[in-house]
Amino acid sequence: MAEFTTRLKELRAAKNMKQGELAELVGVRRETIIRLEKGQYNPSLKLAIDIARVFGCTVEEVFIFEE
Amino acid sequence: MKNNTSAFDEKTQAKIDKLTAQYTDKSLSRSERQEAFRELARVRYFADPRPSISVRKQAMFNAVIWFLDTLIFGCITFIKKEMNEGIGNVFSTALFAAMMMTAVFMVAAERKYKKEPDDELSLNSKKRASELAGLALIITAAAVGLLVFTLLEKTFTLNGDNWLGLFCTLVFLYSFLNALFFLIIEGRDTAEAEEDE
Repeated sequence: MAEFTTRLKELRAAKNMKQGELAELVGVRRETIIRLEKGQYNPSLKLAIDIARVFGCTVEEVFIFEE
Repeated sequence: MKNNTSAFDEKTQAKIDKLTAQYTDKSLSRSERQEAFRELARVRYFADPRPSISVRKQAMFNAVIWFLDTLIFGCITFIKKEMNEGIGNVFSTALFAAMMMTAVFMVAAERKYKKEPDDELSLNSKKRASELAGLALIITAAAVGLLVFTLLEKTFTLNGDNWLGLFCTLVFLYSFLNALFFLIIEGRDTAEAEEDE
């Protein structure tokens, strides 16, 4: 699995959004958002784009892949 | 998917109608229609007022039911023939009644609770679990067969009486292993363990 970190928690806090609210917006379970925040799950392209759209930024600004 | 709510609000109903039209539109690709179906399931799920069972709890429930059914059918198929006819018939009737009760319990639970729909993570986990369950089934069947034929020196003849019992036992065993591997792959229930912050 590619190593990556996310700014999900930070972006959610800025919008005062809970994990469950984000999960409902992008059509996944809260469990999935928790795994994403911990870097334990590689999202599909569609999910990554949907999450980026919620926060109004690019996929690269949400998911940071380490070389 | 059965609609158990009396009425949806206008916005929800409009969304459901749109997604239903997409799902039934044969000009769309299979993956687009599957996506519309999953979205439809989610919209109905959030509009349904019944208490919810998470994907993980559904798997736990299924694992218990399939384990019981495997034991029951296995006993009916393999152990009944070791007993005399009278006791064997009572034994198999009691076990069959127990299996019917598990079916009734499943139907009752289905009506009372709404089921959380799958998302991409759970679908990936289920796909992986079914691969592992298939492999485990072959290994388990081979191991049990070897144990029975070599150590216990018993024989098993496949005939009109027992082929259905053997088939059902293997199907229930596969279902149990599938649910079990899904729970192992999903790991700890972090959604319940952690606060939604």
